[in-house]
Amino acid sequence: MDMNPSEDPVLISFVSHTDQTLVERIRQGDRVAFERLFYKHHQALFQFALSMIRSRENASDIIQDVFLKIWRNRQNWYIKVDVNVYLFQAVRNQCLNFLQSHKARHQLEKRFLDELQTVPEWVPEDAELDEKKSYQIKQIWQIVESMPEKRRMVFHLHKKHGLSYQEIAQVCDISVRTVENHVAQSLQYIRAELEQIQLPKKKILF
Amino acid sequence: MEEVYAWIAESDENLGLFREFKRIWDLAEYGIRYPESPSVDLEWELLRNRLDQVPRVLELFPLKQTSNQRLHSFSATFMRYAAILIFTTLMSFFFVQEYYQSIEMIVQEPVLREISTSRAERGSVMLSDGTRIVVNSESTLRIPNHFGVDKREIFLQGEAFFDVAKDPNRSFMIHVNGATIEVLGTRFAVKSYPEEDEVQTVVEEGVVAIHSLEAGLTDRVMLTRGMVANLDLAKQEIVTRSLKDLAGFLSWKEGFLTFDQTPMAEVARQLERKYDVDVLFASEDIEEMKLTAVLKSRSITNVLSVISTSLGLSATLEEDRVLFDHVKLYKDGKPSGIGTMIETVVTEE
Repeated sequence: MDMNPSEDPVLISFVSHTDQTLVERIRQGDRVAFERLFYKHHQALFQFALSMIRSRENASDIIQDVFLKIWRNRQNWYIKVDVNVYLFQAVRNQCLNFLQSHKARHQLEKRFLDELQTVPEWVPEDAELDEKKSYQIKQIWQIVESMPEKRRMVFHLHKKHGLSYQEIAQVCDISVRTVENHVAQSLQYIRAELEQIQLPKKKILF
Repeated sequence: MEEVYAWIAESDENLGLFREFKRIWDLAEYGIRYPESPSVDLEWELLRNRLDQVPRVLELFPLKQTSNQRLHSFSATFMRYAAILIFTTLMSFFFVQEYYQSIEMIVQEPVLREISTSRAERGSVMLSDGTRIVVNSESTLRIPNHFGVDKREIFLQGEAFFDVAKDPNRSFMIHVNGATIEVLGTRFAVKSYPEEDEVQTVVEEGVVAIHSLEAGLTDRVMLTRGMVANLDLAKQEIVTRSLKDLAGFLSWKEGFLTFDQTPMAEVARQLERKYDVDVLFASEDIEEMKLTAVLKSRSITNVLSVISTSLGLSATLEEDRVLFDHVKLYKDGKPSGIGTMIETVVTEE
């Protein structure tokens, strides 16, 4: 049996023409365009940064830095990928750098490490969901939080932010196959963890 | 793909496993968010204050990252995860359900990715089979993770132009508002916004087949190059005609607005979508007025000026609201500044 997925995922890319127009305008120093770009992407990028570094203040700072950098280098802001992919890419790199430098600097500082281990209190996006479903969704995403950093990132990008495998590969600088692997392993992990949670309950019955 | 179904059918364990994966997958689709997200206004205010500051130090991290942060190759451990990879493979086969009824129950819905454009946004989509799609404003495409073996199916709401890659073995089907549009490989546009109760198909090249069970059109209606079909879902009828101005119908792809005896009510909807404004009419009869124009300008003030001039109307743009009115006369008999001239109250932009 062929174990590789037989085909690449159908969706390869989505490019927003409007975002491209914004990039052109920003390059020419148009501040309104820059503001639009910020408003359009801030929410998603913040949520993504938070899922990576788990610190609200630092996530905010990182988004600020990414946009500040874009503005300061606006005249040379030529990008080959979609703006959305570019921004996720930039935030991801900034987060990785942040983690690396802070972990090294604060290796002995327990407080900081504790903070990184604090899982954000996620709530389902759809407020209309019934309680049971909403509980299950929360449970799944909490398990995702305990996954290794890179796998967590791939899972978030795919399921939460709706990026295609191809786009995730660009953001994370890995192959599409590796993305697929991460997704597959995430599913396996979540299933196993859910089973663990449910096991003790069953034992009570005896 | 029979192999995959065979794998599921092989044992109850496999079936159970697959069912669980599918459940997790679907649940995770809902997504979560952090409840205390910062106010975007506040964040923008903070950033805005920093924009003009001269950087004291290059405090920013380099954007490129070093190679030791790259993920390892998983090829060695690949096989270990073979079983679960079947899940991803399975996504391709959700559309082929005819033979395996027992599995059909869990495989009811394909896993889809959704692409939406907001008002004033257009976008391009590329699919793995080489098909390209241009999506107009306020439209949604739902695309399966994998195509089936004998068809390529997607779902549309709104307006999109399709350049479908030829594949004689797999027809390409677009499900839109109760109708199905089927092609092998060709270029055409489909429009069906929820408020319109109509599906319009314009063919630029090749042959396109339309049928709609919902509208009682079981026989396919075939369209060829240069033809437009309007399927009226309420009246359950389809009207086809040849177009003189094919390019006009497709010019939205380039960001133009083209109107051909188009009622102002429809013009208003297109303006709303394209410029993210609300369009109001001071009196109802303006909605019935018909406009014929090709508007290439990107600026809404120019566009409003052309429309108001050609119909003898006035157009007022205030923030994001446009008001069309009849030109009122002053006591001295001169128009109140509008009609030939557009009165605009533009804020910052």
